[in-house]
Amino acid sequence: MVKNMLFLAAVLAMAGPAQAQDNQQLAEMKAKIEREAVAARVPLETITTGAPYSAETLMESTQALADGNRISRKTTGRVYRDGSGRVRREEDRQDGGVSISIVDPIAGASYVLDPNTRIAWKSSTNAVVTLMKSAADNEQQRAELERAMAEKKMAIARSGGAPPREVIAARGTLEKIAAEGPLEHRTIDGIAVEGRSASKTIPAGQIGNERPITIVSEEWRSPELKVLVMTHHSDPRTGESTYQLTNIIRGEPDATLFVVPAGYEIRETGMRREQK
Amino acid sequence: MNADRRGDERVVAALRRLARATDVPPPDEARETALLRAFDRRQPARPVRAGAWWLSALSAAVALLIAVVVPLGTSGRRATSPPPGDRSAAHGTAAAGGGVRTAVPVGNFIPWPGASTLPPLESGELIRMDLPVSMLPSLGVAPPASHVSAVTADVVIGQDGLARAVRFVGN
Repeated sequence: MVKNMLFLAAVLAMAGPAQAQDNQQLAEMKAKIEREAVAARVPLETITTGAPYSAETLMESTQALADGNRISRKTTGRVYRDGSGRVRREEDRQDGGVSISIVDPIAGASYVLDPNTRIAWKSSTNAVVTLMKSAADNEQQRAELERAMAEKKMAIARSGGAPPREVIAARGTLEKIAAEGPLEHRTIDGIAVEGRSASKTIPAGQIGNERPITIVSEEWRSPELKVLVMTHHSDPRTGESTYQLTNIIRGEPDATLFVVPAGYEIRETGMRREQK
Repeated sequence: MNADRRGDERVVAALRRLARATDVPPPDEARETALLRAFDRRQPARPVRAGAWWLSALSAAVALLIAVVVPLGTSGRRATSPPPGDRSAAHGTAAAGGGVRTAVPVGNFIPWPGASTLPPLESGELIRMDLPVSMLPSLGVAPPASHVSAVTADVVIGQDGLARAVRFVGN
């Protein structure tokens, strides 16, 4: 929920001055999203088996404003994964409650638990897998396009020739140039991780920027647990954000964590536009 | 005075509710052209007499009223959105609108601005929400021609709380 609210804040910030003028409308929208947030969510997970663990999650973001002010946000939670790939996530909400999701690939279902209404919103994991694949395909297509463009630019640079027409045409949609490579291996919270860094630059003038904008993204993954242990993202336009697993414990979590608690009403869809 | 103001506020609130509950299709070019031609036929070229200006204004007002009221009368309330992952349903909803054209692409995920620089999506959430129309240009999408102030979208948020992709849901 907190994560959703952080995202909502970003959305509202992007909405522009016209929206900001209508405070009543924004307040209504915010209240509506808060009301629907639990019902209008589907948890997404990459299904990984044979690597059980439990850990605490920490998300932090900091944004420096032009007037010297700073916006800092912090979200905590917990994650549990068993050997069969079932995942439970808990996210601490600002109101003191906890948002809980369970993805159970064995049962073919995922649940978002609403402790206030005692409703478990159920979705098919087939839909989750399809969604993850769709999003991943999107990322892959973009990565392939960027790679192809980078290779083409390298070939042009080597030959000393003028850029072909398609490079010029694509430049408007491909403003970032990738430079990536591995980071030194290290240990985080007792877990050996492999790091990777990707740096992208928006050339000067591309989006009206006087100087180049450099965006740096780093990730550390545990080959043993097959999970991202830490990521760090720095973009001058939006600030810095960090995601980290702490207090990582190898081994099978309590099996009851992956079961909808007694007393919950299970509703078949996890996505409702309006909560009655 | 206060009563008038409260009355105005009630009218504004009612209009907002009506606007939110109604999807107006984009202007029908054929109907608009026919209306303008008919209007031209009824207005043969002749010197405009002083004092007859209100006739033109009245005609324009009637034409504007027709253009606004006819689509309102032919469109219904928003349909319930399809469940996530139901791409065909999303397309079907758009198609069921009688071939209504919209600049907002329905069904396919498009990358969120800046998402190409983020760490890979390992887990996260799909959240259905109403996005303000004013932020569509920043997503590379032309706002719809209708008067709606928000569009329903499924936003993919990664494990780090940052958005990765968005798709628009047919209303």
